[in-house]
Amino acid sequence: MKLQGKLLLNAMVSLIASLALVGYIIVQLLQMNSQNQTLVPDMLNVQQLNADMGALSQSLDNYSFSMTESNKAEVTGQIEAVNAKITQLNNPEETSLDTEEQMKWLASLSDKFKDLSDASLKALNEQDSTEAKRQATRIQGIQNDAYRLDLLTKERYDLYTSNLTADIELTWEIALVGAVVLLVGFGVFNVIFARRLARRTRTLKDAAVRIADGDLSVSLEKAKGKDELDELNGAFILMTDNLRGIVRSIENSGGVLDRVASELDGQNDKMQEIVSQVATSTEELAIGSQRIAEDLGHTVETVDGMQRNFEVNLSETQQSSSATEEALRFVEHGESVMREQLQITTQNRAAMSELEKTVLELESSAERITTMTQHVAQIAKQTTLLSLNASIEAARAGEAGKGFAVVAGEVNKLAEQSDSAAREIFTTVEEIAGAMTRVKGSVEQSLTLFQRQEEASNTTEQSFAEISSQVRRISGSVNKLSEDMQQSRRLSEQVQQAIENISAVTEQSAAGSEEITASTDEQKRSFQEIGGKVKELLHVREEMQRELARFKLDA
Amino acid sequence: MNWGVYMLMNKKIKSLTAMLALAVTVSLTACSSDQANTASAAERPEIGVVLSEVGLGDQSYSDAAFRGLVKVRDEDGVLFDYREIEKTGTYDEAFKQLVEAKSDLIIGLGFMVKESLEKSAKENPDQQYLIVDDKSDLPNVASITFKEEEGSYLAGVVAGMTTKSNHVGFLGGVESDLLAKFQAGYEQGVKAANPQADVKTVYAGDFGAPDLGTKIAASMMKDDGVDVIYAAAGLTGVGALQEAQKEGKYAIGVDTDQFFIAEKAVITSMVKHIDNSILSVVRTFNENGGKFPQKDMVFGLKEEGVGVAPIRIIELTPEQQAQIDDLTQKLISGSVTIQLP
Repeated sequence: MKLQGKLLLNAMVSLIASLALVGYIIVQLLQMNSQNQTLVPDMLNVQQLNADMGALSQSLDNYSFSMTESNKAEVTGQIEAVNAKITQLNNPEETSLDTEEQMKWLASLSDKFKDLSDASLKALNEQDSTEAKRQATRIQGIQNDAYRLDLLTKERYDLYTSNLTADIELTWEIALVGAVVLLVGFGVFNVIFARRLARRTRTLKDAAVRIADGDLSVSLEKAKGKDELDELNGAFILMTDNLRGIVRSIENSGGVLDRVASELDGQNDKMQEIVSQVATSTEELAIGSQRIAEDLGHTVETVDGMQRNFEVNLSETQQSSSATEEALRFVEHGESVMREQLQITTQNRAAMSELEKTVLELESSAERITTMTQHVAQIAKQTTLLSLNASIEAARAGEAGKGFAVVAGEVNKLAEQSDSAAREIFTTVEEIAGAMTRVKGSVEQSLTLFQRQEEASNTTEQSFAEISSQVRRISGSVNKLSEDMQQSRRLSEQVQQAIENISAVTEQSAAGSEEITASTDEQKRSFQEIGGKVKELLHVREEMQRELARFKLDA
Repeated sequence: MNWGVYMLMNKKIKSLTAMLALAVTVSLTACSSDQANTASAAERPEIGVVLSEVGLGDQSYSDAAFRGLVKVRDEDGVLFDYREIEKTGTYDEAFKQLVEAKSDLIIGLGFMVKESLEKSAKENPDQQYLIVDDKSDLPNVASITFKEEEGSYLAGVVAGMTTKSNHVGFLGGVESDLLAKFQAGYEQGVKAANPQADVKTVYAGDFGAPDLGTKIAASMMKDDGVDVIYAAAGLTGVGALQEAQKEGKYAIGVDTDQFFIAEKAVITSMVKHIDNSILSVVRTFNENGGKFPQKDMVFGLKEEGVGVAPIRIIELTPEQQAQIDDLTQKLISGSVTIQLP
């Protein structure tokens, strides 16, 4: 709520509360006024009734002493008057007599009076003074009822009056207390309100002063309300935050500036260095260019020499080509001779193989003889053993065996002869075998020789083929070479042309290098200038930092 | 906020506190002022009275009691209600109604109501009763009795001094112990003033028949030469008083000053100050917190419960007046006593 609204609301609330109090008082007074309109008339009527009955009693008494017509008329009039009063009191529209007790007494009174008025009228008519006198006295009984009724009515009136008094007092007290409460309440409320307003304003003022002094550590609490002061408070908080942010970002950017400046400085130095290097390199380049130019001169000369050599080579190569063709023809002749020789060699080898086969068959026959001889030797051995056994048996048989022992001895001699024959066979066979082996060896040697010869022939043939192909290749190469030489000569011419071009370019490059040197100098000067500016920037930054130091960011 | 404003505020708070205190005090005072007030109808003592046979308007007994109650009502604020047999039919019903009305004290007038009163008193032992002109043995029934013989003695003295024929009459209502006291006092008073005089006594047997009283009085005067009649017979006696006036004789009223009934005949009346007695007794009752300090109360000349009305019509000699005064003093002091039957 806006401040104006709050102030207005305060005023309105006080006003409405006061009006409510006044309204309450008015309502109370109206209620009191409207409470009872008939109480007083009732009371007066009852009292009047009492008085009227007193008068009636008096007139009846008078009549009892003097029974004149005027006294009679007086009595009649009084009876009517009392009757009228009683009728009025019994009419619910004209009275507020309504409690049970009031009604009881009113009923008793009415009843008694009816009897009394009847008796009195009768006494009047009969001119009975004793009865009139008696009735005059009996009125006291009715008057006692009227007295009771009057008492109740008065009491009711008193109650009403005291209630009224109490009501008025209560209203008055409530009004007074209400007024005091209102006064105190709104006084206290307004004082508190004003104090709060002042405190809030002061808080803002203090904050403003501190901020003016550069103290940005001021921290205002966020306001919950929505009035102008709260908005101001919010704006203050925002402003302080923003200021803090600005100062911080300036500080940060100062740092960045420092870094950038120093980096710039470094970069600048590096740049200058690079520029110097470029300058040096450019000079070197220039020198190089000159050398290249010089070298190119030499190269041109060399290329010219080369050109001349090429032409010599070319004629020589053409001669080589014809020689090569001659060689090729010789080679082809050698080749055909070699092929004939190879054919003969192959036939020799086949004959040798036949021989070898025969030798091998001999060899196996010899082996078979050996084997059979071994069998014979084996049989001889066994026979010897058998003869031995037969001798033993003959010995055992004694005399009977003597004949057998002689046989056995013969067998043993045969066996020994077989064995020696076998040994001779063995020796002979071995000699045959030895001779065979020698034959075999020489055959194998011959075979090997043939093989080698064949291989050599093959190799020779191959060599011839190879030589032929090589010679052909050489011939091709020479032809190719011849072509290439011509191509080279053309290229050489191109090279010559190119070198001349390069020479021209090199001269241009040298000129360029000089220009580069000049611009590099200029660059260097610029970089020095930048260095100066950076230093100036750092100076400004220091000044800024000094200014920023005035601001206090944190409490 | 500076100190000045703060002090101002303190001052303000102090004055507000003072106002608040004032308001509270005023309201408390207002409350306390409500207490002083007259007692309401419900809080006032309530007395019920059963009137005697004829009821209100009997020109003697009931009227006197009624006057006494009106006096107590007007002077002390005591409330009362009454019952008459004419309305209730029986005395029992009359007492029952008064008990139901929660009376603080129920008064019965005359020996005629005694039986019903005692019956009611037995049924309601916590209820206080008072009987006039009789006594009861019940603890909750107090009594007022009168030394009617003392008043009657003085009436007899006046009658003895007044008679010319030396024949005086006594007209009783209904023969009873009470009436016997009247009779005895009267006879002894007549003898004290006029030893030659004799007393003609007749009981009418009714308190409410004026015509019968007229008849009896006429007979007394005509047949017996009676020239002063003491009519102790209620309304019956009224007839006798009027008859005496008619015959030019004298008469003495009873209970109240009955001069106005027959202003040419009634020389005095034996007055029972029932009104004053009832006033005195009810006051005692109220002052003692609804109890009687003395159960049976007797009212004589000394207590001004009985006496004679001013003497009219006849002229007494100073000697006669002095004799009356002397006898009155002697009755009060007890030097003269009356023999009761």
